[in-house]
Amino acid sequence: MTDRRYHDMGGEPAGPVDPSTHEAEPWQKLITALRNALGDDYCRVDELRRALEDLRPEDYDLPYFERWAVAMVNLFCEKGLFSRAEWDAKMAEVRRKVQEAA
Amino acid sequence: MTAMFKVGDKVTVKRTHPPGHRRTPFYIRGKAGIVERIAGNFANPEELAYGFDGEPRRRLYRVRFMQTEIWPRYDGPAQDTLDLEVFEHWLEPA
Repeated sequence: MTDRRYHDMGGEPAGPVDPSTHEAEPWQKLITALRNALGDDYCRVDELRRALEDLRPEDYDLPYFERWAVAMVNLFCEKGLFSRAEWDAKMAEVRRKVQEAA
Repeated sequence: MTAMFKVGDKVTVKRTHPPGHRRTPFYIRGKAGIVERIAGNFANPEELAYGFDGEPRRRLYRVRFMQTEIWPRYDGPAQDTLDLEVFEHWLEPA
């Protein structure tokens, strides 16, 4: 059974399902809007699925929209919307601002 | 383009594990079922996933499997079935 990829978990033990509902966070709505806006040119649904499936297990296990965020960044780097270095620099800048504001 | 299979044909899902984005889940590979309907022709998502146009379109079938065929320890009613849509290039005559 070593050929099963990490995401391909149909039939595997998965624990109980949490049926509770919750309101989406603003950033979760934003990332959904971004996905829809970039659509077929930069973030086709099949491409996003592929990017999600290609995540390392530790990233695949992130909550739903965090997982989307990591996969979308990987896809956009691949497509040349920005480089990994540009992304890392921007994230460092955001982190610094958050720390300064704290 | 004529369909390789018709409704009622017994088919087996290929037991293969190619890398990349594949639309056939692991649990169904190698299992046999019956063609329930021909769902139509669709751009190949296994190509769309890498930015290609998905042409030529692939025929998609809805295949009906017995749950007891899929899960060795299935303890529900013996007549339970599972319907799954599988592309023609994943199927072989059983």
